[in-house]
Amino acid sequence: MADVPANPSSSSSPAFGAPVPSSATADPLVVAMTTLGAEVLPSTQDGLAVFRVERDAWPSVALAMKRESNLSFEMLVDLAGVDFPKRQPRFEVVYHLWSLTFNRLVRVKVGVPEEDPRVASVVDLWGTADWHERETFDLMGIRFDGHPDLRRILMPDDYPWHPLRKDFPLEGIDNSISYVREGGVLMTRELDVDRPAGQDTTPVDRSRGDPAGYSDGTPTLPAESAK
Amino acid sequence: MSAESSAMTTAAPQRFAAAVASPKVLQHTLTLNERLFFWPFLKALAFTFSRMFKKDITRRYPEQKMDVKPSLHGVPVLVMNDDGSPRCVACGLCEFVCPPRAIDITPGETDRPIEREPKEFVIDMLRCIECSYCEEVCPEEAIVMSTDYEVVGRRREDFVWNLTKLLKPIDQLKVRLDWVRRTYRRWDVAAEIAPPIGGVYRDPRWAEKPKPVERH
Amino acid sequence: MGVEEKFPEVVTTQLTDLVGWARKNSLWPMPLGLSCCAIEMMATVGPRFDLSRFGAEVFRFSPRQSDVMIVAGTLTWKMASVARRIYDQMPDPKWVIAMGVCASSGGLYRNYAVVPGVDRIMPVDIYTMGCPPRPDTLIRAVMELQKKIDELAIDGRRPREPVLVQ
Repeated sequence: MADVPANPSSSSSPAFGAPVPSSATADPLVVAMTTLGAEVLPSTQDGLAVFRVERDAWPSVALAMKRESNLSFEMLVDLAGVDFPKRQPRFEVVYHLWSLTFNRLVRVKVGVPEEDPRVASVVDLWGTADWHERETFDLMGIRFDGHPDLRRILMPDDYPWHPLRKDFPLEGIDNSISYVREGGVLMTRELDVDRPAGQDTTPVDRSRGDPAGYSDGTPTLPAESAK
Repeated sequence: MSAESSAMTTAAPQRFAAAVASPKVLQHTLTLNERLFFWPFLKALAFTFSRMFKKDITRRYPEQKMDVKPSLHGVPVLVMNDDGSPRCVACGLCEFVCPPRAIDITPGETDRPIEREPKEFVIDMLRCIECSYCEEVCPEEAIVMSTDYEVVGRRREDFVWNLTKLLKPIDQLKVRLDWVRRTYRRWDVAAEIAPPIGGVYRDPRWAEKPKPVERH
Repeated sequence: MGVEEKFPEVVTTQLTDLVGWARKNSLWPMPLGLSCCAIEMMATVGPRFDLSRFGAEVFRFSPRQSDVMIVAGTLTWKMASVARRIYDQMPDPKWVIAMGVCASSGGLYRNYAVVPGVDRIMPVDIYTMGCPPRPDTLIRAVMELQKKIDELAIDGRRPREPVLVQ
């Protein structure tokens, strides 16, 4: 791959299949992306072109990357959120796009500030983004405007936190069961869906045996209290 | 040959001809013998019957236990010296290395030359994943995996083993201790300088002496 | 009921024994195989270990037809509601074996996603150590459960009460 001439104008075909040359401006992909308003970041060691796009410009840039004939990124390979607690903006949504026409992979980063963690959804452009955006919303708390069904995908529906943020403790908050402690009874609203309201003594059945005495130091809750 | 059939033949390349072969069609009506399905049935019965005279592969568990090798990762236990004291010096390395954080050590002082011993040593057997990291990291060969592997219980408290329950006489652990020494060869240099208390059992298969580890 | 009142130590005790004997020797497990422990669970019903020697080889994938649920593997909070619902669908009397350390206490996974022991959401009768437990250990758990069923009253839930001799 390193033998490809750095100057794409010398070759007959438009050189999207070529790796990023040493002079970045010579790459037609870089030229096209710069025209769209993307900031060029240093490419990775194996020649993956990296761009940063402003959050407000991202919908139009995404549309152009999908539709423009000189870009034509038909496939969304991956979508992920990254948390940099000390950076500004704090979050980044990283898209990996693949152009099947030009056999070219590109990485696009969109910064998302912590105060307003929103970014435009790309589900209508790439259907793959559906579950990826749900996962990013679930674990990072980044909302995707225009997503048809932005629910949690990995954690329970009533989970109040976004656990992949850097400030979230790995062991969970309050041993990760505080959201099932309601009125002193171990339960989740999830567990209660098929029971009429008011009869929510579902989880802990102390009638036989004694499930008390957790050795991991978690205090045992009284079975019937505050009810 | 009509135009349609020639189009069909050209549609499938020659090398895929087997893949588009016509399905097998029944060529004749079944005879009475075939309809009765007697002989295949008898053959199957004979096969089943012949298994009676073969060797039974079922291991009748409670009476017939597994052939335990010294490399089995069983329940971690503490090595008890001949005088009843634990070999552990409560350094806390196993506590640190334990992936599920199953070990909890309360160190204390002692009059013995090692000056430090565990006042309490608790392993939560419902956390322990029997990875033998503690055994590998222990500088005193004080915690080893035993050959007990069937631990069940009705209450979670029963699985919290304290020092009294964990201590096991060194005589019962010699095979595993030797296996440990052979596996983690770094101890051989130390063993030459100071032979272990009570000596070690040596399997003749392990007679060839491992090379001493080069220290940097 | 009259007969039981007149001869409590004869009729009820014998009936409890009979029912307990029938129950413990025909345990139909509901395999809740959630991760790697399920492989050992499958090995247990295989020919080498042959759980059918204990009458527990009929793995029913319908909770309506099973007595004992073998929770084999890591239970996440997302799965917790499903597991609880399966438990609720099982007819009484029912028992639960927590197979392996993940099901018993969360095991290696001390994090936000994993239920720290299935006894948070359902009563567990037998806990099993091991990651995963050997098939022998699961057989031992089934034997322990049989022993426990023997000690239960006729409803299969409460411990058997001592017979009052008048």
